[in-house]
Amino acid sequence: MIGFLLVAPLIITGKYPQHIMVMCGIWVIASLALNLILGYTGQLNLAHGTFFGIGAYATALLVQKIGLSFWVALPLGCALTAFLGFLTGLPTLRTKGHYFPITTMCLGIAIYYLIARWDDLTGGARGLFGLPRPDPIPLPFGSVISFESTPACYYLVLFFVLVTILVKSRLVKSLAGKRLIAIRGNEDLAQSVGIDTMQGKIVSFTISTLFAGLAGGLFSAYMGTLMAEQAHYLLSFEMLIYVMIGGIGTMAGPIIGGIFLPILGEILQPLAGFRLILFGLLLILIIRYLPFGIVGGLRAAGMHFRQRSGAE
Amino acid sequence: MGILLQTIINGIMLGSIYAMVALGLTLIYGILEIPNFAHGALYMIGAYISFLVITSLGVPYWLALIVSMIFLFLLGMFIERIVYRPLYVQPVINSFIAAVGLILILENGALAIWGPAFRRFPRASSTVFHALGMTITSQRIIVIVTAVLLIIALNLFIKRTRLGAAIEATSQNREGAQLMGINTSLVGGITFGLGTALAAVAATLVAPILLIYPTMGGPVIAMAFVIIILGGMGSFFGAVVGGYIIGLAETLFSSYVTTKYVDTLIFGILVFILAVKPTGLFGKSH
Amino acid sequence: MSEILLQAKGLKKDFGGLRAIDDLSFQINRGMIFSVIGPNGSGKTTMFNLVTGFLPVTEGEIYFKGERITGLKPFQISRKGIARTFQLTTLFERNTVLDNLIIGQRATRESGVLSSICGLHRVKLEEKKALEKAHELAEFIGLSRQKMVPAGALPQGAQKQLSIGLALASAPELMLLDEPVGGVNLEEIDALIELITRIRKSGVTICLIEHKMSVVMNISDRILALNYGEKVAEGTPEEVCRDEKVIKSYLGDKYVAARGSN
Repeated sequence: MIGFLLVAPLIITGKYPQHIMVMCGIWVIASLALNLILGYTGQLNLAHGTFFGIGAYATALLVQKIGLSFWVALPLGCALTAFLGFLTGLPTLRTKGHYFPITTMCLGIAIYYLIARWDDLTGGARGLFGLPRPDPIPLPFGSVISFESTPACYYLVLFFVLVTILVKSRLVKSLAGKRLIAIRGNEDLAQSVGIDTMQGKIVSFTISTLFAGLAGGLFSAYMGTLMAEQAHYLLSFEMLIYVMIGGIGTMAGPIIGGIFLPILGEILQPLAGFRLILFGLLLILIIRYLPFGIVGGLRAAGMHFRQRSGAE
Repeated sequence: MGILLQTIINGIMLGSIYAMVALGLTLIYGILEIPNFAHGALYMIGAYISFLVITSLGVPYWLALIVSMIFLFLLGMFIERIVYRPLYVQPVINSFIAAVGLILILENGALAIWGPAFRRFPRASSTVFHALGMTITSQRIIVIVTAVLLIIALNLFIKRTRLGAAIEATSQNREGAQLMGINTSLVGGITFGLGTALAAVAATLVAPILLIYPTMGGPVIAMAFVIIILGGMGSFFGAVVGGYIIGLAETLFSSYVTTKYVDTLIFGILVFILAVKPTGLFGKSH
Repeated sequence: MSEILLQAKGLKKDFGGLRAIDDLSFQINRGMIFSVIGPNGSGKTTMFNLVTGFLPVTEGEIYFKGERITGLKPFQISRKGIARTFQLTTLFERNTVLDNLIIGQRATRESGVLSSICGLHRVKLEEKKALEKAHELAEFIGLSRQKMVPAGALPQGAQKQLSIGLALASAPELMLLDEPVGGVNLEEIDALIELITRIRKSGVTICLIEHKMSVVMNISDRILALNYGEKVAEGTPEEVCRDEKVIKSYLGDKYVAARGSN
């Protein structure tokens, strides 16, 4: 699998498919991040797309207005996003149950309007453009890795996808990860065994926004242009779809969702608005009949077959 | 002076709209304990249905309003039955996600049928009043008067009729109501329908003033949630009073300070209040 | 006379206009099994919720090992050494028995996030030890053959066993069990009682709410009887079962049957 991913750009040539691969990588990072706070900690953050946007704008502005190199701007952008995540997480995570998604939705809208109207800083409705690709990395012996080509960006994004997977998998498999799962399972019960649920939620939220910011930063550098739409709640909905259909609370789920659904979206592009109607319908059907998404469904099927063959 | 009065009237008008939407939302929450996230999208459909009926069938304004009300009442009952009811046993998050799906379907459905452009909506009447230094179109007055009448009517309905009593009982104690022989599922569906019908009225009333577009539900629903969270989810009084307060506040702030950051301010206030009191100002502890 | 482990003084709890607990004082000494009885609605679970921080007290103080714990959050009280189960069996249903027993442990709540992400060797060691301890706990509570079963799929009796095991996992000094044998059949009752006795033997003090009088009379060292949120009697099983007010509060039925079985 990894082998295939590594040589993919060599096999799949053609600007358009390669572009899709890069975008999928970015969506996978963002979906993995959402899954951390949603699937593993049980909190529905509807401002996730907004943090993606914050990361995108932060990195872009650091490069464009302050002239930092991408390689400095990106970590700073992530840190900034995470910091904002931490600050907004403190009040919002205190809310219980239903209130949290509503509050994050409102938060997302508030920040979206802020970004869309703060013309001086963010270019307002026009947005930012002319953002440069990441600076070339010098190699020994005088040559450089340049990021002007799409395949180069693909490898960059792939690198970060692997980093994200590594971090997330280490986290959810560890004892600390079990805390988060406990919070998702039953907050009161988690409290009764001594777990500081507020702290757990904040940590999970902050990490989740950090990686959302990472995805955003990569997006702005790759695409070169940025508009307020990248911080709209519609983006949160899209990523929610990727996670839900792929499989909430699993490692593979967001990856599958982040790859196949954007591809499906591109394929259905000619259908324009109907595409989203279809996605909406899919979402409702999934939540009703297959709440654990594709991965969950496969697992259940696998267990079912195992039981049946075991019984025989 | 005239400007101030005019602004206040506008604020009351906006407040009327918010009050009706928030009221529908809080009624639904009170009975089903589900925040109907898709309420904004349904509000939008309400406007478009009236629009459709007026422009394609030449139906007069008030009749269109009633048609839209009825259509959305039925649509609401349908949605409650088909989408939400199977999810009551699942964690609340899943209802939210289903609502997101609904929003996508409704918003993009409207987009596909009518396109993204803002549409103008015919007025109920075109008289313009001049008084006390203000210039007010009759539409605004109509909004306020209709809203107030409807709210009072709804209150009387709940307090004085048997169905209203059933709704009240079910929202306070579902099991108790069942034991008394009330068909709580039906009552739930009817309440949902009522809530969405209210939204349809609000949308149709305000459509001639603010143009209609497929995503018009977004800001309204967000504000409605702010209102019911502040006023207490499930509280009739809280939704109405909160609606008017926010409507006035938003209008006054926009006129006298700036339109740019109103939304940010209001949501900021919400986040702040929730930080201090996580169950809202007058929260009903469920 | 062993040390006083938990002490409640003058507890009052109001819900709006309703006074659920009125001027309740009691103490639990180390090493005993202390039972709380009373008709439905007498405030037993409310008392548990006050002690464990799930409900704020309206008035009164609670001390654990001499330290004031009134007003602390539930997780803080748990960390002091008090564990509890819930009346409605509460487990991490989507997780396996083993996972449940890992989640409850001190190591889980203390393990660092950053060190986990960095994959430090120390963390791997903690995980290994936690897993071993979970296996031991599973043995101890009698669920060693169901370790990989999701908690939600266990039968009622096993679920009760697991919820006790979950509480035990945090290595408490005091365990509050809310109706540990509620809704369980006769064989399972014996297994659970045996488990509770073994836990007491291992040095944990136990406080339980229970309706089944035969169980209560059998294993308790001391009993607290509540009615309408007030203390009606406190003493040895013999003293309490002879107390007139206690008999009255139960109107005789359940009580007479238990007396007969003694």
